This record gives sequence, C-alpha cells and structure tokens, in this order.
Amino acid sequence: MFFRFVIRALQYRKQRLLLSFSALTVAAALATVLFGIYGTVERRMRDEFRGYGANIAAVPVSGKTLPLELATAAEKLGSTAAPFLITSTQVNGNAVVVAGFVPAKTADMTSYWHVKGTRAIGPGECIAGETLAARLHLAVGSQTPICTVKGIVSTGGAEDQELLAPFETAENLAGIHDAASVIEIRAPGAQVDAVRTALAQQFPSADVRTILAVAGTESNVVLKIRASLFLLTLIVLGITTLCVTSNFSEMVLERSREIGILKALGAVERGIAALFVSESAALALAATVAGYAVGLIAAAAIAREVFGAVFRLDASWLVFAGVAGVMLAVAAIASTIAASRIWNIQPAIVLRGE
Amino acid sequence: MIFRFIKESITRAPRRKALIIAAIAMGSAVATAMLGVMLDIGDKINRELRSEGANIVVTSRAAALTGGVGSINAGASGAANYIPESQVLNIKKIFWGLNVIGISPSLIAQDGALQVQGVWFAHSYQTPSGDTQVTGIRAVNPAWQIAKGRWTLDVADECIVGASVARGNGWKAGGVIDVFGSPFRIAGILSTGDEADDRVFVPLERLQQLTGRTGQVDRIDVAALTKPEDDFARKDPKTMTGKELERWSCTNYVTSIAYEIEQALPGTEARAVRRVADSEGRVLDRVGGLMGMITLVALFSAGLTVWSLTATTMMERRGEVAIMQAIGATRGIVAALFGLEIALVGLVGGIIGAFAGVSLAHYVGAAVFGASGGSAVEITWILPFLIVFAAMAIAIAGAAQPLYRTLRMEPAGILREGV
Repeated sequence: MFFRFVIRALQYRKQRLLLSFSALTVAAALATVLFGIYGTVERRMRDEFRGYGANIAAVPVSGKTLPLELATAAEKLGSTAAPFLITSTQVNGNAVVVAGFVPAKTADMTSYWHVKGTRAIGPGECIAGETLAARLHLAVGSQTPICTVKGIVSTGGAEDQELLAPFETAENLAGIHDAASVIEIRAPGAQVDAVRTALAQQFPSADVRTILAVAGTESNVVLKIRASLFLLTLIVLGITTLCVTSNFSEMVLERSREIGILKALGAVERGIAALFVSESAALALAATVAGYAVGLIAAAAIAREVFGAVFRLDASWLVFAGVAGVMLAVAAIASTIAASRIWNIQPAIVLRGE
Repeated sequence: MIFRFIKESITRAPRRKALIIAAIAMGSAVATAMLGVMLDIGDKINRELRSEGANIVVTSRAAALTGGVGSINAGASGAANYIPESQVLNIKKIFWGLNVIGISPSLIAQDGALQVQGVWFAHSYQTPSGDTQVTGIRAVNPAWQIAKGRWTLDVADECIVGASVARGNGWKAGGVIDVFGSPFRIAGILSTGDEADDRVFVPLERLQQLTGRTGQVDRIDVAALTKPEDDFARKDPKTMTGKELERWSCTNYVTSIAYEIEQALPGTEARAVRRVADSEGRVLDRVGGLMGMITLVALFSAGLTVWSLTATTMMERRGEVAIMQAIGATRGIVAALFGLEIALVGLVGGIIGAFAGVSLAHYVGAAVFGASGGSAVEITWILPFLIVFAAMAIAIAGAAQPLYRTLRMEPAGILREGV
C-alpha cells in the first residue's frame, strides 16, 4: 500500500516531481563539484606556490659556512633542500661571484629561472647570469677559466650577476668541502614551522629562518581561497533548500484533495506526512546519484582545465556520502516544512470544492 | 486588456506566481553572487600576493656586483652609479601608475661589517591626482614583522635592525647603536627570514647625509598589480609592430610596467623579479580559472532551473491557452499575453535575485578578505542589469517551446483531456 502510493504519486505528478528532481540533481551536481574541489584545492594551490621557491633558509650563525648534513636532515623531514656555495673567481681580470649549486636538487625550487640554453649542467659547465654575461660578453658556448657557459639565466634577482656552477666546482674554487653558504629549503606548506624548529634544534651552528614573505603569503592565500569556496558552497546549498521547499509545499497544496480523502478515510496526519517525507527522500537519493555522476565529470574537467591534471574520475565515498547527506537534509527540511500544512487541511472543505 | 489579463493571472494564483518569482530570484542570486566574487577575486588575490615583496626592481644601468640566490643576498655591494631621489616618484606618473601600490627606494652602504640600508619607512607624497599617500619599505613588504619594539616613522635618529644582526651583536629594542659615527636609537627588531635580517635600516635622508650622497638612491623596489603573463607578454618590445607595441603597453604585464618605468627614469634598468612575477602569474591564472569554471557550472545550473521551471508552468497552463483560442484569440495575441506575463515575472524575480546576489557577494568578500583591510567586493553596475536581462531571457526561452507547441494543437483536444 505504502509503495503503491509512492509509485502512483510518481506517475501521477510527473511534471512537478520532475521539477523537484531536476532542482535536486542540479544541487547535487554543484555540491559534488564544490566538495570535490574544496577537498583538493589546498594541495593543488600549495603546489602552485612551489614556484616562489624556498620557504626556509639556513645561513651560518657565525663564520661563512654551515654543514651540508643540514640539507640531508631537511630531506629526511620530507622537504626539498638545495645547498649553495658562494665564492668568487677572476674572469678576464674581473671579480665574478660564483654560486655553486646542485642542479638536480635546485630545479624544483627555481622554476622561475628563465634560461637560454640548458639548465642541466655537468662538471666543467656553468650558467651565467644575464647582467654578468652582458658585462663580460659571454654567450652560450663561451669559455671561462673555470667552465664552459651552457646557458644564460635571467631572474631579476641576484643570480643575474653570478656565474652558476656545479657545487663541486665551487668547492674546489673555495677549497671548502661538505659545507654550504646558504641552504634553501622548501618544506610542505603546512609544516614549515615544524621543519624549521626541528632543524634549528639539530643544528645550533645554523640560523634557520622561515622566509615570511613566502610562507606567510602562501598560507594566507590558500586559506582565503578555501574560505571563498566554502561560503559559496553554503550559499548555493541554502538557496537550493529554499527552492526545493517552496516546490514541495506547492506539491502538498496541489494534492490537498487526495490528502482530504485520505484523512476522511481515517488516515492519521503523521502517516500522511511520512508518505510525503519518504517520497522526497527517495527523490533526493535518486537526485544524488544522478547529480553525483554529473558533478564528478564536471569536477574532473575543471581539474584538467585549470590545474592541468589528468582527466580522472575521482570517485570518493566520502564526497558521495557528503553529497547524499546534504541532499537528504535539504529534502528532509523542505518536505517537513511543506508537510506541516497537512495538519491544516480540512477534509470537508477541500472535498467540497475550493 | 493586457493589464487585466496579467492582474487576473496574478490574483487567481498568487502562490504559484510567488513560487516562480522566488525560484527565478534564487537562480539570479546564485548567478550574481558567483559572478560578483569571481570577477573580483583575481584582484583581491593579486593584492594578497603583494606580500611576497617587490615584483619589479629598478637599478641604475651601471649597477653594482652582488651575489646571492633566491631571496637571500650574500656578499657586498657598493654603488658605482645612482638614481636621483627626486626621480623616484615619477614611477607614479606612468600610465599604470595607479597599479603601483608600493615604492621603496634604498641606499645601501657598508659600515665596517655592518650592512646599512637607507629607506623610506613611511614617506608621504602627493599623487598626480592630488591625494596624499604613504609609501615606503612597509608598503612593498607587508609580510615583514617587527618581532620586538615598533616601526619607526622616518624619525632622523631612529633605526630598525634585522633579527640576525641584532642577535649577533646582542642589541635590544630601545638601545642605542652607532652607525657611521652617529647614534641611532633602535625602534624595533625586524624579523623577515630573508636578507633584511642581516641589515640595519635607517631613514634614507639620514644615510645620504652620513655617506655624503645627498639625493642619491641605489635601487627602487616596486610592488605593482599586474596581469599574468601570456606568450604575447614575453615578446621583445623592440621586435613589435606599432600596433602590437600599443596593445602590449596598454596591458599591465609586469614587463610592460617595467618598460614604462625605464622610460620614465632615464639611465635606469627595471627588471621583473622572476621569482615573484612568474609564480604570481601562475597562482592568479589558477585562481581565475578555478572560479571561472565553478561560476560557469553554477550559471548553467541556475539557467537550467529557471528554464525547466517556466517550461513546466507553461505546460500546466495549457488549458488556459486552449480556452483563449477557443473563444477566438489569435495565436499572436495569446503568445504576446503569456510572453509579457513571463517577462514581467522574470523581471521581478531577476531584480530581487540580483540585489540579493550583490549583497551575498559583498558578504563573501567582507568575510574572507575584510580582515586584511581589503575593500569589499567591487561589482560593476552592469552586472545586475545583465543578470536581470538574462533571467528574463531564460524565463521566456523556457516558456517558448511548450507555448508554441500548445498553440499549434487543437484547443478541443487539450480541453477534453481536462488539464
């Protein structure tokens, strides 16, 4: 009897139900997109911030160098660490600053280097800063006393005036081994403080600093983007609830004759209300499945378009459960408010006509 | 006749009209709020990203030799040439002057082992438009924090010292130190994590007097709001045709702003700080793209809701159409009557929704960006108009197809069905 009522109701009021269903589906799809993006936006945005380079720098407290083990220790803490050794040499009678670096470890943190030629250099090769190159008339292929120029780098920073050479070349020039002038560290965005504290404790001879401009801006911007998404999600869901509520109350009003007959035949209000609420719950579940499928595709498309990720349907039970929970709540609130009208329906009046 | 028809239609089923208006209003509200936030978030994030520091550095063409990597500079510097201080504010007079939100000139000197930098802490000046604004090192580096003490306001005998150099020398805030034979009171200890930690900052004018370099600065750090670079931005302006050059310099790319600064300050070289400018472009692109796509999805959903709603309502009113036709109304009249009514409903719903959406967008802007002193979300006055127009258009479009189909059917058939 119960199911027959629900099924018959579905057939009988196709249009109205289709409308509620489509509103709920649209809401479920939007919720899936927003939940899905909200869950990954922090990681993805932090990835983008990698381009700003190191967020921690270790420099010697006294003296000129600090132990190279600090870089190894930082890597063990899940960070990338790039040691640099700054020294100087003479090229054609000019004093030139030489910065020794490890190309493989540095690449990740220096995506902002604009290099003409190659940035992957081996022993006996180096990259010249743009300003330096212009001053000393160096070009790709030029020879200097210590290396062959393989690339010209432009950064707008100090690198423009330096000769960037492999770490070993700088070590030999300076006559120093297993030590660095600066170690630049990129710690995972959320763990900057933890990594910095651990390194500072382990290496008292180093001044380990958080680069505030980088670390602070990153967390600030990521938090703000997340907060915007969160509020927009709330607004969309709030408005959907309103929309579905008014739709459901209309449904109750339209069917007041049926309700009147049910009441006249002796049905209790709570039983009738239960019919309406379960009808809307079934509707919400169906809408969740449909909306989730659509939203999943949309979220994957957005991830690919915006972040260049691989198009992958990232089906997660957590998001599905979240969407289903929210949709059921929306339908429950909407139909409960609507069903409260059932108590006010007088069978005699409705059945008489108006 | 038309007005009576619409009045009747509303008074006969006020609840139903309210329902449609409400649904259209909600769709328009979502669309307006999303668009409002989306169109402004790039600018907001751009301002937040300015706390990364200067994105353009101006030096004189015969710049000195410095060493360093990333945001850490090591090694000495001594100026071979200089930029006249009187020219610094010309940067505000370039075409993109309004996008320049911070200018910090500095003079760098070495007192024994001590690196001393003369800067503007809070320099007041008149903008070309006549307002008074304050700029200086804090405007360019908003992320820098005073660990102990306070900032100074260009008081001649006060200085700020970097945390690292203060620790090395055992200096405390409030103490007095000697720079170039002149006493300075330490107003605060600065903690930044970059090279500034190793320096002593004194008022620019004072350092110019002490080093005998009156009216000279070595470099200018500039913070500007820029547009993310695309392939076109990276072209060399020297190889561009006249038209291209015009388009290039009328876009606030970091390179075109740097180019204009070079034109405004002869003998200088303005370079984009790639570490800041490139990453900024990427972050802004991603944020813009993300919000754009979400907005697109939301607009599509809102449009779909309004469309299906008016379509369903039209279907339900087939009986009315049939009766009107049966008593002799032409198709044109019926279409005009219903079209007008739906346009009116769309107009009212759109206006309500646009207003609600604008305040929702303002709310999001204030809640997210208000704390950092940002202004509320700025919404152009065109947006609400466009939304109202779109709401009306979609409502009419939704009704058009079912109405057209009904008009072509035999009234008798519809009436017998008893819809």
